[in-house]
Amino acid sequence: MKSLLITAAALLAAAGPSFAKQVRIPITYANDVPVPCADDRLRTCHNRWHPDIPAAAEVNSGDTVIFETRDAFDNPFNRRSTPATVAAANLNLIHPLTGPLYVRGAKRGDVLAVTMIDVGPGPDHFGYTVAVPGFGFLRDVFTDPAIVHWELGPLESDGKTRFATSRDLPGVRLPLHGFAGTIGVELGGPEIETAFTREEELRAKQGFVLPPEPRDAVPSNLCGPHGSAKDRCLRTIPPRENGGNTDVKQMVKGTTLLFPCFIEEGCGLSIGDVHWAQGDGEVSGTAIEMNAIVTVKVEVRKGQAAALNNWPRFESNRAGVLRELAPDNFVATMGIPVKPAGVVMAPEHWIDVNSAFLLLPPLRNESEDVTLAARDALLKMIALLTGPTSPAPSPLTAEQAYLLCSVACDLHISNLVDVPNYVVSNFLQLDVFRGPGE
Amino acid sequence: MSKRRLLALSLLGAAAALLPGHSPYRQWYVYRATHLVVVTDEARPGALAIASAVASAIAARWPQTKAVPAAARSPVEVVKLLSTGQLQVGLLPAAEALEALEGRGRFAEEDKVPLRALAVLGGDLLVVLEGCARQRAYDIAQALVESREKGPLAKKRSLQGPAPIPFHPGALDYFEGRTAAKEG
Repeated sequence: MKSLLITAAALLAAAGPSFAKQVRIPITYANDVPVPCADDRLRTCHNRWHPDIPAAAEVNSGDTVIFETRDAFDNPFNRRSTPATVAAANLNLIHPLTGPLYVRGAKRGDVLAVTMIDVGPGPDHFGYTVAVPGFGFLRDVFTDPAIVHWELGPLESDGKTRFATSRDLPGVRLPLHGFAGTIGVELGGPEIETAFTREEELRAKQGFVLPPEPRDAVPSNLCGPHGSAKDRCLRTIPPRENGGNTDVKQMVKGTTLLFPCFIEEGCGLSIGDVHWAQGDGEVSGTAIEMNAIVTVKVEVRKGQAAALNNWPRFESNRAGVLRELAPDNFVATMGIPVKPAGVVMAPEHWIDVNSAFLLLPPLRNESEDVTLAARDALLKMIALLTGPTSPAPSPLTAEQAYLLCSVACDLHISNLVDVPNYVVSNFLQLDVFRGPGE
Repeated sequence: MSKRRLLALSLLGAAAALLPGHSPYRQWYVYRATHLVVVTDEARPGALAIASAVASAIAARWPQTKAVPAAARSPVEVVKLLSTGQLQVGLLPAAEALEALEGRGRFAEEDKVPLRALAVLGGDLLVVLEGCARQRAYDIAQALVESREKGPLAKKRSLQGPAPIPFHPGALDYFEGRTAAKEG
């Protein structure tokens, strides 16, 4: 009898995929908009990383999982929001994530392979792009809050294309290339300490580091002001060994994300901060942010974390998986590390206070500086879009151009050898200017 | 030292104090410390208009504050933004300000928030935290009284109360005709 049971179990295991099931991790809605993460009685939402956050659902390797997710800011914005609303955003709420998902059989040292099957908008079909003062690549140039509202459209007649359009950017439309801006697994205790220690070292040097913030942390009984782990619940802003807020637009459906598992059991996958579309660079700090429905397939690859050197990767062998992301009807600007004398980029403030070159002369050309080259390429694109030869139906304001670039311009490193002027190119697919007019 | 200079220094001091420590986006704090943000909730019709009038009045009297209005999702969010130090001045229904002060009602799950009134605006209170600099509270009260804005700001005498929560000492200094204290 015992051998019969073992044989049956072996057959079941071998036949795994045919027994795979679909599991949904729901969130609570009110009028098609998710209730705030902290108020959701389903307890499927958290906004900090910590290994002791209770699992939201359990699945087997090979199962398909549907994550219902909240937008990056936990829904403070809607179709009536104004820049005044952006100014009141509560930044402690970023990012509400759905999960963590407990995958049976996944242990520390394994890899969780997450294949993106589908990414679509939530039931409100609303998206937004904001410029948050003090955040974003050109935060020294664009200092005031701004918002672009997006209507996330239905399937077109071709049965596969969807477009986002905005009253704030007449004549512009952006196709759906959805991906999770934040997707990752729980860090283990040792990794939490490693990340915390190195980030504290950087913070002590005035680096742009967000320390643990108990206020508005979810789950509050673990990460909140009276929580047992309030000083070790890590913020979700920085990507780390667990993936997280990587904002890689190429993680579209058809790609497989590989995460090392750090916790003892379950791996703990969470997803949120989903984007309808984003430019490489996400320069304003936001993409087309949306509530979303994300479908993935999870598989455990035993003992393979060491082969990844305990860092995430992503891959695909599906022909053409990124083809739709590649610009084929475009204009591109090129940037090199030059600037007006005396201008100090926002990221350079940190370098200045920690560098022997604190009193750099007001150079107009810097050496081998990719960041400055990217800034130059971006400023040139903004100048193009706002000038008389703009490819837009009518010239944009600088603010509109900045936010459009955040969702549609791709900054690519072109060379890292031609000293001192490395080149960064900035591509804009011109098909975005086929949307409805005013 | 001129009053304008003092106010500018107090703003810079507030910015510097906010730079280290619990600072989710330090650069945002620079914005929020260099702009006096008057936050209310978008759920109540008319509330943002009052906050805008307050911001305009402050900016007219003290341009260096760059005062601007802001709209949060709900009164609970307004109190959160104040209590976490993200914003400094809020406009709340008087009853909700009292509930936040006493940690009850919609605020029962939060710690008590030491709110203090700067002015009464119809059924609303303009509030700050107890720790707001006395000079700043004085200046804001003065800006409201001297404002030529219409609406609730036009009823000068009613700005002084009564209020269900204590007034900030800096606002009382102004309303009771005392010279502003030099320190918070």
